[in-house]
Order: sequence, then C-alpha cells, then structure tokens
Amino acid sequence: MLVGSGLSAPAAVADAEVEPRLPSAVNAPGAWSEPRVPREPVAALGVATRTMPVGLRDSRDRLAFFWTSALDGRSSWLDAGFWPNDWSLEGGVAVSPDGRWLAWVRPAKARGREGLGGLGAPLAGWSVLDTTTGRVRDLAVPGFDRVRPTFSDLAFSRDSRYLLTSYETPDRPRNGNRGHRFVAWDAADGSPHVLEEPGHYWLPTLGYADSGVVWSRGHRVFRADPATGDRATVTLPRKVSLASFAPGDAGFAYLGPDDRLYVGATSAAATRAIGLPDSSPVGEFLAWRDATHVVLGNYRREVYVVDTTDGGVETIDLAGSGDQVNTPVLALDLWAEPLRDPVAPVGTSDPRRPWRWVGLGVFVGLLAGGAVLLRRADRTAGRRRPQPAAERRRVRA
Amino acid sequence: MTALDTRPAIDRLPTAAWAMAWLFLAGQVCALVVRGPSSSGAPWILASIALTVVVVRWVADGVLRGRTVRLVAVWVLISAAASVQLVDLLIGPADVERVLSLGFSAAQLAALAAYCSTGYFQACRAGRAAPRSVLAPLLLIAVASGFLGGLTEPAAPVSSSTVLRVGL
Repeated sequence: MLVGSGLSAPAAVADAEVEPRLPSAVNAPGAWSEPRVPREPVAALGVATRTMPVGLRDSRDRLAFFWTSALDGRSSWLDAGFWPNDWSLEGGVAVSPDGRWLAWVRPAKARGREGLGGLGAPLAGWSVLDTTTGRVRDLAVPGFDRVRPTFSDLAFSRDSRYLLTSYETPDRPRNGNRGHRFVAWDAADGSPHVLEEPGHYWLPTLGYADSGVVWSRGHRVFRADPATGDRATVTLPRKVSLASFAPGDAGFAYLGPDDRLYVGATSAAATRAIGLPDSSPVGEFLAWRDATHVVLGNYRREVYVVDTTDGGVETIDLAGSGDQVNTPVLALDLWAEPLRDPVAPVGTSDPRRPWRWVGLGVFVGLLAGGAVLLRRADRTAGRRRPQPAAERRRVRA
Repeated sequence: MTALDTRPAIDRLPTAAWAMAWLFLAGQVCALVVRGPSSSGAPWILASIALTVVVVRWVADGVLRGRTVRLVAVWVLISAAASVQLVDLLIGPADVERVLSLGFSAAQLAALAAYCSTGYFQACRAGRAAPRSVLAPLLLIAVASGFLGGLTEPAAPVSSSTVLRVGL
C-alpha cells in the first residue's frame, strides 16, 4: 500500500551528470534547519542533535535522524515519524547500498503497560522511502497489527532489492530465543519473502554478496535468492562474525571469532588471516572497494580499508561537523568510487528572529496609533496639555 | 432664545464601549472553553478570582471615564498581546486557539480605537463625568470577565498549584 509521506516534498534535484559518491566527511545539518524529503541518492543516514523552537522564546534539543546527499554531501533532517530516543534498540534505520531506498522502523502505539520505545516495545512495521519519488511505503506483517522487534539490525540486501527484517509475532512465547522470523521485503512492491521461519537459535548475522541475501550463523554462511527460494550453504572451519562475497564473486572474506579477517578467492579458500588494527575492535563489514580491498568499520566514524593481497590497512576518518551520535549508516555500493568532498555546511540560526522584529514593529505601530487617537480625542475635546512651568511664568509676565 | 447645548451627551454609553465589553467577556469564555478551569488549589483560584475582579473592574472604570493611565495601560496590554499572538501564529501552526486569540485581540483593539473616537470619550476627556448608573451595566460585564479570567487556566502552564495571579 502506498501512503503519502506527510512531508513537504521539494522539487527533484537528481542530476544525471553527477555520479553518486560517499562524502569524505559526513556533516550534520544545521541544528535549526528544517527536515527535507530526500529526492536524490542518499550516501549516509546519521543521528545528530537538532534544535527546534518551542513557543516564542524557548527551544528544545533532540536527537534526530539526518540524511546526506550522495550528489553533493549536503545533509538534511529526516522526518521519519519517530525520534531516535523513542527507540531503545540500536539502529532502526537503513539505507540501501545504491542509496535509492531508505527504511526505518515504525513503532506501534503503546497499549496498556507497554512503553513506547522500551525494550521489546512493539512495532507496527517498517517504512521504505523511494528517493526517486519521495514516496513512503508502509510495510506490515500480514495478519498482525504489531510484532516484536529483535536486536538484529535493519538492513538492505547488497543488491538493494530487499529490506531485511527480523521480528517475532505476538503468538510466539515472549522469552524464547528461537521465535524470530527472518524476512526479506521487496523494496519495490512490498512483498515479503520468508528466509527463516521460527526455530533457529538466536539471530542471523547479515553478510553481503552482489545478489541475493547472505547471512551467517555459527560456522555456516547462507546465501539465498528470496524470489526463487534457491539457497546455498557454506560451512567454514571457524565461527563467522561477518561474511561477504566480493563483487562478481571474485573473492570471499569473513571476520572470525579472533577478530581477524580471513580472505580467499572462494569461501573454501578463505584461510589467509589478516590482523587488524588493535586500537579499535572491528565490528562492521562494510563493503568491497574492489576485488582486493575490503572496507571494515568499528562503529566509529573511521573505517579501515584492508588490502587482501598484502594485508595493508588504510584508515579513513569520515568525521564531520555537528553534534553527531553513533556512526552514520552508509550506502555501501558507493565505496567502490572515490570519496568526494562535501559542500561546506551552512550555519543556521533561530528562524524566529525576523518574526520577533515584525512583532516589535507591530507593537510600536499600535502604540503610535493609540497615541494619535488619544491626542486627536483630546484636541477635539479642547483639552489642553498642562503648560510647562517656564511657559506659565512667561504667560503671567 | 436660549443657546442649544452642543456638547455630546454622556448619559448613554457608545456602541463601541458595549462592543468592547462583550468582546472581553467572549474572549474569556473562549479561553475557559479551550484551556479549562485553573488547576491551582481551590483557595488560590478564589483569591485569583477576587483579585482579578477588583483589578479588571478598576481598569474598566478608568477606561469608561477616559482616565489616561488606565486607558494607556489597556492599550499597551492589548497591543502587546496582539503582537505576540501574531508572531506566535506566524511561527507556529495556525491552530484554532491561536487564530481565536489573535482575532479577539484585534477586535478588542479595534473596539477600543472606535471608542476613543466617540463623542462620549471626548466628553470624558474634556472633564465631564458620566453618571454611575450609566457605567454600571458595563462594569458588571467587566466583573464577569474578571471572574472568568481568574477561573481560567493560564495560557503558559504553571507547575505550582499555589499561584495567585491576575487573569486578564
């Protein structure tokens, strides 16, 4: 079902001649700026402090989602219908690897003792925004008006076709650890494809490949085509934290339990271990820049580009301006291209300032009008102003 | 042959004064409907009502007699209210309460301006005194406005329940 976004949609700015790129720094929008519907490829989704006017004089700071354009690196606030603080679980938003789709959770209205955003608070579903049209599609689990979320991140498949969700339906026991269902939603038409029915122990860890959906559990890496149901499984000699196939399946890499990166031309050959920087533990497998360079993240704004041939590690710091919280979610396909310097952020100020001057002008005008009225009434009434003492003395003289 | 007295009569209040009085009362009724009764404790509500009634009646008496200080005070207060409400409407969403508030302030200001242009007002400014019986009905409306003003929840929320205030 297509629904209106409820947001003001500016004119499309997609420029066919400008290639989408990741910015070399992810800047937060001006704190006072207004939200904007993305109508261009998105490079990043982040969280920063937004300032909003309250009444005539007060203001309120709130953590808010923002998106960053893949065309010029400019950032704007995203009106997702909920605030990061209302969602106690990590994440809750996703951007597709090609930057076309944005997705976010849709918390359900609390009933009875349920608290909005509390652990295990219900979800009404998810929303997917198409940046080519600015329209939002609401996704809901058939037969249930609310489901229980899990700790699994919201993410898109590497081919940007599917939104991957993990949830429990209310008819499952609340404290079980095998109750989740792993579902891929077609971003274009909203149809759900169940990848895992309840019964599997704990959550899948998402991985990536050019096509299909990749996830791992224990020693096994799964790769499935949601449309056809075709599935392949690879069993590796050690537990897999994160797994990824290189573009064109030209290579395979995974993070092992020892925080080392294992690489090879195929999954069976992925035995060569590469040590990673000790300073920050690696937590995210972001992308392949090419067949021999892997991008890894550490939940901070710096990323490591690892050369799988010689083990060399390059650090890139994406830190930008603004009071940002957590690492922005990035459009992973864009790692294949060089980074581009973003447009310099523009400072913003309280938008009420000019209106206050208007109010002061109106007030002064009304006072002047009142003075004129009173003076005219007094003149008509023949009422005389009291003369100054010097005048009185002169008249008497 | 005796000369005719061409001075304006002040034994009858002008329509603008009646309009002003009813507009103030209607404004207070709307505020009560929209914001509800005050959430302060009962003794504080009673004290606020009493104080507001006294202040509003005294100010209304001054306006109806053309007294400068009370007239200017009312003009400044309504002008300030209208200016703030206008800015509030321009900045925030145009909800019913905002539009009504600005509408009442503008109408009250217009009625006050019209009143200041009447012969009655000019006679008062010339020093003639209106009979008390002429002012009594409007002062009763002022008392009713003051009663409602003291009873109504203030526009800006107050955290304490022990608040003595003048609700204008």
